[in-house]
Order: sequence, then C-alpha cells, then structure tokens
Amino acid sequence: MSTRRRNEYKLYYFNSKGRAELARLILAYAKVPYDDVRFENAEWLQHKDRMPNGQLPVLEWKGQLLPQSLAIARFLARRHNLAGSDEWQWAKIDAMTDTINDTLGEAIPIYRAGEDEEKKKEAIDNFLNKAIEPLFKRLEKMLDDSGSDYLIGNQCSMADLAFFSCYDFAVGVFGDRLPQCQHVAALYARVGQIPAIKNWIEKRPVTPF
Amino acid sequence: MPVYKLHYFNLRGRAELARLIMSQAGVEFEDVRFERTEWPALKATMPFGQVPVLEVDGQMLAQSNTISRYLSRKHDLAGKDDWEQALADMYADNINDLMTGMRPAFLEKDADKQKELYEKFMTETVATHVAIVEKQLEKNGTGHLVGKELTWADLAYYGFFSFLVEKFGEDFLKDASHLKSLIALVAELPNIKKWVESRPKTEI
Repeated sequence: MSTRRRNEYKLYYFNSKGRAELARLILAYAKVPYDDVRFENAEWLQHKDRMPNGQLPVLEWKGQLLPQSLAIARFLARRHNLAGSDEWQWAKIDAMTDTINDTLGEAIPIYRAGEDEEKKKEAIDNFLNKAIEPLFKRLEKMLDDSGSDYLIGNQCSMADLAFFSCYDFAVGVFGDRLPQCQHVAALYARVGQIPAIKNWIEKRPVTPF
Repeated sequence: MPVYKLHYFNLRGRAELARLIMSQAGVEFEDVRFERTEWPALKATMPFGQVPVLEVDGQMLAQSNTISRYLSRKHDLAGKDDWEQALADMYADNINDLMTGMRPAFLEKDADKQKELYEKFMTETVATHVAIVEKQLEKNGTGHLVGKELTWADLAYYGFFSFLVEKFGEDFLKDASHLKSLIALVAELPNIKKWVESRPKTEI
C-alpha cells in the first residue's frame, strides 16, 4: 500500500486563470505541490454555501478556508520567500500588487459587455488607454530609474508575479496593440523564463482568460 | 557560405517552410526558437516587429514567403525558369492564403465556436482548394506541382497539408490521390524525413 503525502494547500477556483492565477504562480515559483481544484459552474453551486464569502478563489489550509485572492496571495508569498527582505519592502510589494489588481479590475466591463460588440470594443479600448497604458508607462519609468531586474528590490516578489499575470492577460486581449515598453517587456520575459514559472505555463490548463 | 539564423516561436507555423527548404538543401542553420513570454521584448529587434526573420551575415530578412523564396533560389528549389518560378510563387501564395484563412479558427477562444470555424474552413475553403490543386497535379502529370522536379511549392504543400492531416485526419484527401501522393513523396525524401524526426514536436 502506498501512502501519498497530502498536499498542504488546496486552491478552489473555476477552470480559468482569473483571480486564482496569482496564487498558482506563487505556488509554482515556490515549487509547492497543491490541489488545483477547478469547478465547473454547476459543480460550484454545490460548494458555494460552504465557502466563507460564497465566492472564489478560496485557499484551504489545515482544514480552514481563506477567501479573497490577494489575502491568499499575501499569505502564500510570505510563507514562500516572495515578500521582500524587510517590512517596508513588503509594504511596497503589497501596494504594487494592489495597483496591478486595480488595473485588472478595469477589464471587468469587457466581460459585462457580453455579446454587445460595440460596448465590448469600447471597454477594450478603455482598458488599454485608461488602465494598461498608464500602468505600463509608470512601471517602465520605475524600472528604468531603478535599473533593477525586478519591480521591488532586487529579487522576484509577489509583485513581479502579479505583473506577469497582468501582462500575460493583456497580451491575450491586445496582441500587437500592447504598448511597447522595453523594460516592462524584458521583465515579462525574465519572469516567464524562471524555470518553475516556465514549467507551470507549459503545463497549466489552457483557458481563454 | 553564409550562416543562416532563423528566428521564430517554438512552432512550425510560418517558419516551417524555410526549415524544410534548408533541410532539403542540406544547409546548416541556427533554428532560434523563443518562448511567447520572450516575444514582447524581442519584437523591437525585428525589422517589422514580426517573425519569422532570416538573419544572413547579420542582415535581417522578414516575410515568410520572401525568406522561403530567397532560400529556394539560392539552393536550386525555385523552379527552372522565370515561368516555373512564378508558378512556384503562385502555389506558395495559395498556402499563405490558406494559413491566413485558418487564423480566425485558430484564434477563437470559445471551444464550440472554434470547432464550428475549423469545420467550415475544412469543408469549404480547403475542400474547394484541394479539388482545384488535384486537377492541376493531374494536368502537370509529373507528380510535382511545378515542372518535373521538386520545388519549394511541393514543400509548401507538404508543410501545410501534413499539418492538416495531423490535426483533422486523412479523410478530406480521399478524392485527391495526386495530392496524397505528393505529400507522401515529400515525406519520404531522406533529408525531410530526417528533419521531421528530429524537429521539436509542436502543436502547430
């Protein structure tokens, strides 16, 4: 009889990247095996009531359930060496991650537009002009000024993974329309080439978003 | 002898024809393949922000068919005279149109819609084309698309149609025995066989 060591973490979400991908990237970076639970819509309704906020993602750890994608990310980042080298750095990493999260929030109207092509186009243009472009410009200047390989400090942090997830999503939405920013693109490539991240990208389920 | 460096994604896509040409010609080349995450940073270094790009002695050449045409001319796979070269160009352009025609289906993110688009592509676009090219092959009567010998046109059709067979099965070629034979002919060429066996396995 073989006994499999149970995974420490169980992550619940839908079968998409969305608000769970940051946690997945952190766990991938940390090389920590986990149960990557992906609900189909019908299946989700059966589990909804036992989830703290009736929402996903949720992290299960030691039989306890933690909601809120950023809280999950912060918890995992702190435990797995992605929280910077001191309190102030961690605060900056946190702030950057929140900023990127806000930017991604500007994409929600794209999905609310549903089948309305005109509304969708407007939402996409808005997301590009009012959210992605300003963010990229700011990050470009930050990276240019600091000369660092990473967003905060000199090592990969939760902020770089949040950025990667955002850039990856933006590439999917905009393709060639994506603003050309040298340092920003280089960071995307750099994170994408981290062996543990590269491995995850290759083997993760392919979903539209 | 110039050193060729071909830049592309880790895909067959629009670079495979150049790779087939160089393989058939027995020409050494550096097969640069980058990840999707590396692309945004590399884009600025490519002449028109696109790939494939052929680097020859430090000079960059863009446009997949131009690259293939250049290599074919240099390595005796372009056709015997002006007219044959033009015919080969024509066939290469056909394949280019088919590839472009397939893009909407390839890019479609909704699985059901994608299936529909691929089906439409195969039963309308490809079927129509196969019927025409089958007649041309029959008319030419040599087993090749252009003239009596192998040209890059044959390699172009092999490249794309072998991919379609891989993805959709052989059934769509059931009434196209000449095209089927052409694909088999190219597949059996020793240099092509060697390349296909050793190349990275990719979805497209």
